[in-house]
Amino acid sequence: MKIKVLKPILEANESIADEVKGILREKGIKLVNIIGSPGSGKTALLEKTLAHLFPAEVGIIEGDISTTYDAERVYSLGAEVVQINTQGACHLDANMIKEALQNLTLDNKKIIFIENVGNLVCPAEFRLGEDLRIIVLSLTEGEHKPLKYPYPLSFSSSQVLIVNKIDLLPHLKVDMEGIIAEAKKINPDLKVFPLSSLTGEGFSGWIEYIKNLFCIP
Amino acid sequence: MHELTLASNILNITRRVARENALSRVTRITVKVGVWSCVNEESLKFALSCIANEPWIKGVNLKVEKIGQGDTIQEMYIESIEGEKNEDKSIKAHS
Repeated sequence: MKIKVLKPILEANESIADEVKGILREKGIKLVNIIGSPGSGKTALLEKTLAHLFPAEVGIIEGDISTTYDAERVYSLGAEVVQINTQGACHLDANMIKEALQNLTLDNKKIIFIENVGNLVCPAEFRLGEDLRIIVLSLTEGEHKPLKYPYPLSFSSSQVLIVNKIDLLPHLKVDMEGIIAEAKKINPDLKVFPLSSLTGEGFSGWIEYIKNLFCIP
Repeated sequence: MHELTLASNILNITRRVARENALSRVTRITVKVGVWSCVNEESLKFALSCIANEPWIKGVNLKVEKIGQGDTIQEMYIESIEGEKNEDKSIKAHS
């Protein structure tokens, strides 16, 4: 006998993601999921972004396969951090976030950033209950990344593209406008911010965007 | 990419639906995946064959159908399962 099922394969993850969203909505907290390749500058972006916000109002969930190096970097700036070590798993799932939230003080927070495991493929499939998904791409990663990674939802499911390390532009043989055009081809609604997390160049646009979006004074 | 995670979700949903319908054995699972959902068919089949080793599902045939229009390109879901109904040896016994 044949039984119609019609159930999403990742329904377990989807329902926990909704739970996470519910918990945070009740507290008035916004959740941001940061996705990008290893070395694209996700932690550096967080560090520089923290300097423009009140660190006490920010929570950070650091996803790494191993070690606490990244967590220590942002902790030293005054933000509350929870480290998730995935022990080899290539992405974070909603259940890991739900558990991490139990180790964060939620009462005084306005925004929680999740730094996902460095990977352009797997993290994109797993909704974590986020209000905003951003993808960080650095100019040193080479050209045609958007077209080389079109299927993973990395580009199509994100609302923001950070093009990082623009301070290196004079030293690289890379067509930044071409990269942005490719990304826009996959996702025309993508908001793009070329910036340098090292020098701070281009940061004002990004900070203004996130503050306006989440009504942070 | 993460086919083992998907396979284990497929196994869990199949177990639940099989129990609800008192199946004693599941012989075929049909899943539909959007062309943008980034699922590798071979590796999904391999992952499922590795973990589907209880008697009620061992040797199950996984059919992967690609879908690709409109908003469905990023979706993946279980379309149907097929199996044998046998009240005496229903899946409830296998937990």
